[in-house]
Amino acid sequence: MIGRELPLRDYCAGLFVILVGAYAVWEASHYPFGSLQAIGSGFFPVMLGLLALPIGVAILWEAATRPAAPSGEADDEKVELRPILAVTGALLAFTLVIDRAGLAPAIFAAAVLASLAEREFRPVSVAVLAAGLAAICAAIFVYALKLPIQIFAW
Amino acid sequence: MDLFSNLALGFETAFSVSALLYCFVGVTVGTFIGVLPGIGPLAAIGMLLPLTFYAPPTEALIMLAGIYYGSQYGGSTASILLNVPGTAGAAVTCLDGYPMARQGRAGVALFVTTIASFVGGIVGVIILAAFAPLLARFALSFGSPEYFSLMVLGLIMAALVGEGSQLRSLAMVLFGLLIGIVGTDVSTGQSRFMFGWNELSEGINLVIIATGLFGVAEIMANAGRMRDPTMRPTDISLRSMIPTRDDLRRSWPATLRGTAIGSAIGVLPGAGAALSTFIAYAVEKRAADDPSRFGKGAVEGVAAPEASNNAAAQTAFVPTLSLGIPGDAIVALMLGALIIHGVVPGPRLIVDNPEMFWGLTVSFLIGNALLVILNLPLVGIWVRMLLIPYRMLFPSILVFICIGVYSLNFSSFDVALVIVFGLVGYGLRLMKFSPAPLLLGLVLAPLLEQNLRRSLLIARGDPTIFFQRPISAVLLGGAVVLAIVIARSELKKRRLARKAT
Repeated sequence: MIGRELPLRDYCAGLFVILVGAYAVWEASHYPFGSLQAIGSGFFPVMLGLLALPIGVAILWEAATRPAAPSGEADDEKVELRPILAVTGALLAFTLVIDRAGLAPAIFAAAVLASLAEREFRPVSVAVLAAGLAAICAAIFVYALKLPIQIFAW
Repeated sequence: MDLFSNLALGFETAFSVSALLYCFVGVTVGTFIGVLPGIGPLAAIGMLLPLTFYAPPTEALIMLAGIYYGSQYGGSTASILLNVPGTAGAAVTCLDGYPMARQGRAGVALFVTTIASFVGGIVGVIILAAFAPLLARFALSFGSPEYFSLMVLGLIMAALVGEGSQLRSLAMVLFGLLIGIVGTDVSTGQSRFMFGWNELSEGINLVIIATGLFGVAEIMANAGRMRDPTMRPTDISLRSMIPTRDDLRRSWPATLRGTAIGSAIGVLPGAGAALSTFIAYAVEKRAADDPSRFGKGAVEGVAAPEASNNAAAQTAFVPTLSLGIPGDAIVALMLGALIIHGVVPGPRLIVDNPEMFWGLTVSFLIGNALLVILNLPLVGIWVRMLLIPYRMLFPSILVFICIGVYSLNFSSFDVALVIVFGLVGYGLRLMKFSPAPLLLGLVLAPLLEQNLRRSLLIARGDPTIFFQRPISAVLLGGAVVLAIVIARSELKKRRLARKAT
C-alpha cells in the first residue's frame, strides 16, 4: 500500500474516550451536584467525564497528524470472530446451566463450547477434557473447599 | 518498635504452618503461570482471588504476592526454551535467552536467570523492609488534601511512566475511576452508573473486572491461533547449568545493575516489572564493550532483565504497603483484595497490622528461596508443563474463571458481567489500549472521591486548599511538572519524526 493508511483504530479510540466522557457527564448531571463545600454524588463523575473529553480529542488529533506510516506497517491485530463467539458462548452457557442443572453440567458445557474456538474440533479429546475438568472442579471446589454449589441439580 | 522485634514478629508470622503453606502454593502456582505462555499473573491472581476470601488476610496476601513474584521467575523458562515469553516481563529475555538455548546453553541461561532473579528479589525485599516503614511514618501526618494530591500524583505517574501511549493510559485511568464509582455512593446513597441493574448496587467486584479484561479478553485474542509447542522435552541436567568463568564474570555486574534499575522503577506507581526489563536491557547494551554480542546469546542480556523484574516485583510493594498507592496493576489487585478483607490501605497499615507487613516481608524471603529450588533442581517439571497444548489450557482457564467469579456471590449475573468485561477488554485491545492502568483507577476511585469531598469540606469549599498546604502543593506540583515534561518530550519526538519523513 502506498501513502498513508487511515489509522481507523486510532480514530475509534479517540471517539470511544470522548463518548465515555460525554456519557459520564450526561449521566452524572442527573445526580445532585452539590456545592464545593459539600460536593454531591454528581461532582466527581462529572469532573472525570470532563477530563476525558480533551484526552479523547488529543488521541484524535494524534491520529490525524501522525506522520505517514511506512507502508506495510499494518500491525493491527486481525479480528477473528470464531474464538470471540466460542468464548462468549462458553461463559453464557455457564451462566445459563449452573442455576438450572448444577456445576458439573455447567463446566462440561462451557469447556465444550470454548473448544469450538479451535478450527479443528476433536470430539473425543474435547469430551475427555470437559468431563475431566468437571470432575476435578467438583472435587476441588465442592468436596475440598466446600463451596455451597450443587454438582448436579435437576 | 525496633527492627529486631519487628523481624521476630515477621518470622513468627511467616513461619507458621499455614503461612508457609500459602507461600508455597503461591510461588508454585506463580511459577506455573509464569512458565505457561497465554496466561499472565494478572488473570491468574484475579482468578484465584475468590479462593483467598476464606483465608486470613495476611495468608491471602502472602499467596497472591507469591503468585506475582513466582511468575517473574517462571516467565523466563518459556522465553529461553521456546522464544515465547511466559509473562510480559520476560519478553526481553527472549532476545538473548533463546539464542543461548540454540547454542546448547539453555541450562546456563536458566541458571543465570534464576540466580539473577534471586539476587534482584532479595535486594528488593531489603529495600521494602528498609523504606516502607519510613515512608509510612512520614505519611502518617497526611490529611485528606495531602492524600488526594498523592493519589493524583500516583495516578498520573502510572499513566505517564508506564508502557505504551500516555494519552491512552490516562484515558484508561479515567475509565477505571469511572468504573470504580459504579454502585451506591456511600456518602449520599445515590445510585450511580447502574443502568437499572440492582445487582450493581455494591459496585462491580474487582475479580470480575480483572478476569474479564485480562483473562477472557486474552483468550478471545489467542484461542485457536496459538501454535502448539513443537519442542521435544529436553532434559536439562544440573551439569549443563554450570556457567563458565566468563559467564560469571559478565553476569555479576549485569545482575547488580539490573537490580538497581528494577528497584528504582518498581517503587514508582504504575511502572511495573515489564517496563524495568526493557530499561535494564538497554542499559546493558550501552554498558557493554561490544554491543554487537547482544541478540546472539549475551549472558548479560538475560541476567540484567531478570534481576530487574524481580527487584521491581518486590519494591512495587513499597508504595502499596506504606502509602496505599499501588506500585503497579498487579499490586493494585492485591490492594483491592485487602480492601475486600476489610484492611484499610494507607500509612497506618504497618502500624496497625505489623504482623501483616513484617510477615509478608519475611515470606518474600522464604518464597524467593523456595523459588530457587523450584526453578533449578526441579526445572524439568516445568519444561514438561510447556508441552500442555493451548487447546486444553484455555478451556480450563475459562472454567476456573467461571467458578471463581460465580463463587463471589453465587450469582450467575456476575459471570454474565465477565462476558461484558471480556468483550470490552477485547475491544480496548483492538483500539490499542492497554487496560493495566485501569485497575489503579478502579481501586483508588472511592478513596480519591472521599478525600476530595473531605478536603473541600475542611476548606469550606475553597479548592485552593490543595495548593495552600505545603506537602499537598509539592505533590500536585510534581504531577503538573511530570505531565509537562512528558508532553514536551512527546511533542518533540513527533516533530523529529515528521521532519524525518
